[in-house]
Amino acid sequence: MTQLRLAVEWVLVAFVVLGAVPLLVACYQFLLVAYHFRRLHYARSQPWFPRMAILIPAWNEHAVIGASIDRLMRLEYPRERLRVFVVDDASTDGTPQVIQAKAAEYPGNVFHLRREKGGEGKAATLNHGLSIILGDEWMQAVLIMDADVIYEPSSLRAMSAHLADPDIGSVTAYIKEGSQPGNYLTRFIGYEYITAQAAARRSQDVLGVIACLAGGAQLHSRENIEAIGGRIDTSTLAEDTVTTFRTQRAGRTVIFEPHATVWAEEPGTIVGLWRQRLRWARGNVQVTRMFRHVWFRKQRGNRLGGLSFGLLWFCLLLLPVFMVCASGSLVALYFINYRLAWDAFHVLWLTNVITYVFITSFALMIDPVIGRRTWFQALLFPGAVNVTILLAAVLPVPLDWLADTTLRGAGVTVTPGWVRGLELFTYIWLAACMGVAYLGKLAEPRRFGRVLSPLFVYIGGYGPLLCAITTAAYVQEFRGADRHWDKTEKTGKVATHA
Amino acid sequence: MTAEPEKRQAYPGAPEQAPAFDDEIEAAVRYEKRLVLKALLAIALVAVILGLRAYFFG
Repeated sequence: MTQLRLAVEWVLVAFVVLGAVPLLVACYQFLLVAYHFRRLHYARSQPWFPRMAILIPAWNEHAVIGASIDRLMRLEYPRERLRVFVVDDASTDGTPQVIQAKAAEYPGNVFHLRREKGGEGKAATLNHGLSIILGDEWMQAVLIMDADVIYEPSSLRAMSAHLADPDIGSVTAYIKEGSQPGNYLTRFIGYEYITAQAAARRSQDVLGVIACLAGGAQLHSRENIEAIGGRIDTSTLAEDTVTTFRTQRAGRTVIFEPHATVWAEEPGTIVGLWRQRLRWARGNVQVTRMFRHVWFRKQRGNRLGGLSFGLLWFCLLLLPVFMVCASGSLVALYFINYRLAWDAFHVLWLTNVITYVFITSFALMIDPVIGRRTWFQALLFPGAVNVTILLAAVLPVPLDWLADTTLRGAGVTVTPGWVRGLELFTYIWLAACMGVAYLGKLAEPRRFGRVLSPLFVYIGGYGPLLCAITTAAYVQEFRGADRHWDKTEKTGKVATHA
Repeated sequence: MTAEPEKRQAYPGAPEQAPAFDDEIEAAVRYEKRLVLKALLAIALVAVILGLRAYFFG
């Protein structure tokens, strides 16, 4: 009986320690960023201006499409080598009129491709455009972008310079959140993009494998598009990730160009964010399944099956599972062996402190311009309660004193029962923070939602909110929910912050 | 004395005062190299916090 209990205890400890794995992998990812300067592709790049077809899928984009086309016409790229094809996916607003006006304003540069039957999703819209572009010998490279994004004037040529090397199949850029005026949520996203784009993609560059070409900035050589079949996958909700994987499986390299900046408007409400990210997260689950024979298997010509890339991919995809396992195991340990639970928690939380300080400070320095706008959201990314627990781990005595003094002042006597209760709350919070962040979504459309919703996100955490969305994606995929394309609403409030 | 190789224009029709392609690449490489220092700074910050924690609170 004692041996069985001992075995159970150590299994639970193992689950808690396993909770530290995604944190360590995140640190590893950020350490790779520092090595990026050794893997730069600039030695093989040169000023290169292939005949460029820019493909924009558009459905009811009249608020943004005109400005986007104007911006594209101001790119530092030879105008005679630039053609913009807007695939109007049976828009019901003024989109066709805006595109036609722009086609008249920029004759020979802007083309309106109309689909009378729309609503089949972004990939089907892109395929309509690709079939037309590929039917003509003119195009040497194609840039796939979103209707709302704004390219900085130098960004396209910074990307196309890499295509001078025929080994390069695709290039992506650094997408930055550019809503003006922004709000707390767009600032969270702004900081998130430093970690998920500027940092993560640099580290993937170092590993020689990119997880995803940003949907708003995918530059492909004609050879690459033809090599992957001349079509975009329509069977998943993550068509850009599938294109990225197929490019690399076809033996071509995908490059991240961190100095090509593209500004995008991201959702300013949790409901909008939830819709967008649920699509992304479900897409990732589908891609994981679609490429199930790729993971952790060495392959000739690409590094998709590498150990490091597999760890990065699965630690992100399974983060909610890690969190729930660690939390549940701590709670079980608390009732079986209180002391052991406390020790295991210390190991987990020490790793958390190291990860939090390293990643937050480094990320803010990677992009100091965005960092200056988003430092507050960066600090509260894990949520106010989690940050308080982190502080308690670093400054136990002063915080104990502060809590004791406050409670005494309120006439509350701190008993050992209180302390134990607080510890149990801490263990539960590890997973419960996702639920609290989710309350932000529930509260948003209701009365006082404008106040309560941000409060829940700040308390529960933006990171845990993303984990809650991933959990919802598991559930929807498990239930085989509809795979309809839920478009993110764009209002045209994006601007460059340079 | 060897002549310095001519720098490549960033794009056709670029104004004279615009940085050359090679200057842009140099700037990008410098930025990437500075990330090493930034990573070291972040690691140093972690070390200081853990050191102070160990020194003052055991």
